[in-house]
Amino acid sequence: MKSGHWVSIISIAAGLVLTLVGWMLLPDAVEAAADGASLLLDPIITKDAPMVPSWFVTAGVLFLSVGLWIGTMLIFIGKRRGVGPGFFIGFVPTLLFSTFAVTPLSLVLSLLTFPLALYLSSDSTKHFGPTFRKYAAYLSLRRLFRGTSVDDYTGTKKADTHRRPSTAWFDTLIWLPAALFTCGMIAILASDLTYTDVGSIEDVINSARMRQALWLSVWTTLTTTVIGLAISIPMGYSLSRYRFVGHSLIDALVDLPILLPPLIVGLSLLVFFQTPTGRWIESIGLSMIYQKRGIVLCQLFVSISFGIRAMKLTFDGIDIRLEHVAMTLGRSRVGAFFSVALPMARRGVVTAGILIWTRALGIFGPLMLFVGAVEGRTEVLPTTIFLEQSVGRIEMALAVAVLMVIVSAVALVTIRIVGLTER
Amino acid sequence: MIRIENLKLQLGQFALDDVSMHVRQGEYFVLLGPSGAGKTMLVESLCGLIRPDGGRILIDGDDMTAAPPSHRRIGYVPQDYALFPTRSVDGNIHFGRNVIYQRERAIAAAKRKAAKRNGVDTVATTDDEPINYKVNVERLTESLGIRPLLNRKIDGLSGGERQRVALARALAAEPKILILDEPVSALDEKTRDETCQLLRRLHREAGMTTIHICHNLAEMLTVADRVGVIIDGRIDQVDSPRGVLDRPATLAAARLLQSENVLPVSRIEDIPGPVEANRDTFRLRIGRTTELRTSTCGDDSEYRGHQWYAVIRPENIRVVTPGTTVDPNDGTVEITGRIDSLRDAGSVVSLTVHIEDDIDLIVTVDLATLAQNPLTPGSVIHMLVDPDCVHLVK
Repeated sequence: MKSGHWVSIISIAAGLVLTLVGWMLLPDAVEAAADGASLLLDPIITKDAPMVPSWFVTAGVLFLSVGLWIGTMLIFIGKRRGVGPGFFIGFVPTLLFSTFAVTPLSLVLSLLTFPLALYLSSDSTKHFGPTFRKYAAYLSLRRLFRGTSVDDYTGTKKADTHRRPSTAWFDTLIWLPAALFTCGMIAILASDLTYTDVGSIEDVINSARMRQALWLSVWTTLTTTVIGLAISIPMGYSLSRYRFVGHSLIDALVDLPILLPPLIVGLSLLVFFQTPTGRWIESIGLSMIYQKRGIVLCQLFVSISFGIRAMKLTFDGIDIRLEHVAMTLGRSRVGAFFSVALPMARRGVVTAGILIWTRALGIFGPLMLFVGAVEGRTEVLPTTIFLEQSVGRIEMALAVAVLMVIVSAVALVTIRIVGLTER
Repeated sequence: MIRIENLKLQLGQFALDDVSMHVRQGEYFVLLGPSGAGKTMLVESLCGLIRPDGGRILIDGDDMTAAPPSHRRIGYVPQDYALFPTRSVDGNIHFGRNVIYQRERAIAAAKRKAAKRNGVDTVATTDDEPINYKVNVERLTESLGIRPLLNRKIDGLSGGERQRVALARALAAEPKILILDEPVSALDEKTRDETCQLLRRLHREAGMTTIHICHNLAEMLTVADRVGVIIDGRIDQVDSPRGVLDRPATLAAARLLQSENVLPVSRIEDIPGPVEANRDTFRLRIGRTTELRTSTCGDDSEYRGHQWYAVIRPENIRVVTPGTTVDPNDGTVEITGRIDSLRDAGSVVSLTVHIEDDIDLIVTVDLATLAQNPLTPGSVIHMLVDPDCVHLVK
């Protein structure tokens, strides 16, 4: 065992003890301090809270961070995966612990533990190779548990393939943004969760107005998705399979709604329906402004580019020769598309659908301009968040937000699963 | 069977220029050409996948130039096989099969309708009647050795397996013609030989009219009944495999067929040679002094004004011991040269013989001859060249 391991184990143990003691003492102090304070404006621990328990927790988290960090780095270096991933794996819990558990001070202190962690695992982080021999004890221990016959001393072979030349500071720099990003995403989502509770989500679900907004969101976005796919699939196919004058122009036009601020789409739609053509469309009974079908139109314009782009890329990846062969095997041009190209593109269709749907679900700005935010009439979920927040019912807004986060997360997971399963 | 008349096609930098050719029923026709010669373009226009700029394509006497690919009944196996990854091996093989099923059903339905109209209502044509397939898929997969793969996915197959699945898919659709676009070039050498043997055996068993594109000489010799040499979008020559090998039509064809001895020649007209009693030969000169004769060209007028080349296959040059008598009436000429190097090519030994200046001849000697007559680099040898074996190209 190297000294780093002992430091790591002792740190984790000490950290756990200190944190537990701190947490046991903390709640009363927090409650006492936070009593009557606005939920949003004040942090959990106010200035008036007694310092002792919070210092306990700070110290505990600090020890825990150091221990975890050194431990993960040693394990990862032991696995010969380099400093970078070890840094990443150690950094994220450390930072999150410090952010949520206690004070900004613990955050700074835990960041300072990195040099310590690096130092304690240093002789193997400079480069892999001969220095590995110093790990004889650690590796033989590992061999004892794993029962593998790795030739640890020469560092050659066997199961470990992650043995690449590496430099500690470079690895750390490379992985720092990844660690910060991960922390940032987890932190903002977790804060949503900490400020909401099951009660307000229940309130949202039980409120007739909210249910109406939810229902309106669901059916408008699903309609948008269906219409969007009906346009994206043929359009992606035509852009992918045919080259013609103006091809690159149309291609660029597809990207325009992605680049434009969505608000401009809403404004432009509003203006369009003042033109003779727009008035004529309104006059034949397809009025859009301040109407529910206007929501679909808005969503369609903002989100369809993602669908077209996804479908074009999908069809770009499908060799036209397959359709050609299908035609020599007796299929017509149409038959070849439906029996070969479309089945092969099914993952792309799912991705395009989810992209259109999630984008349509999220838009708010153009809706405000084009259909307004009329309660119970053109109110969709993002509108609800805005309306609730504007009258100060932050917990209701948050509850809706959490619902939408869950919905988006489910969509994301679906994309990943569909994307990862065999084609 | 297939007749292509004056086919013209321009596509980017590739072009087919006035291609005419004829493939007979049941023939194994190899289209040989270097890459970029327009082989794939030619077969794609045969399949109806590219519309030609001009000319006609006749299949079984019917003008199919404008027919859609699905009506041509051509089994096409493209170079990368283009298997459908969303279907299993079995699904791929049955892909074209469904079309036959629909066609037969449509015929049966039409028959039933006609029978009903004529008042004969008890004709035994119901939907339960078995389809009259000509190709038995079970036997086909058995013969291709892909029976155990039927439930597998395309992704896990090896190159050779993919090749055979693609072949089975094309054949199961009961085509009239099979077109193979470089079927073996993506395979390793051993699989390539096996596949060539397999193709030959399938052809022997089924007698399917086959067009096989390749650029490999050994492959062509293994499978071909007849060979069309295509160079720069033109069919230079159509002949038997032996024919194109011995008598390439053009210099480019000779180069493509890896003829070892392609020598610039000039016609000797001013030297009156001995009158040949029974053979009509021309006297030629290679280099400055070495004389050759050929009997393979007819009219000498077309030889004026061009640079001509003599093509002699190495195995047609006989190495003899000095003093071997030559029949003067035969037209056979004797050439003397010095051995530059020897290369053991397995069953034969290939000699590079220096004749004069920068003229070298490649000669092959079998091992038995070599045993009688030990040859070393530097030694002088005598060679006999039959005028029948000297072929002229422009």
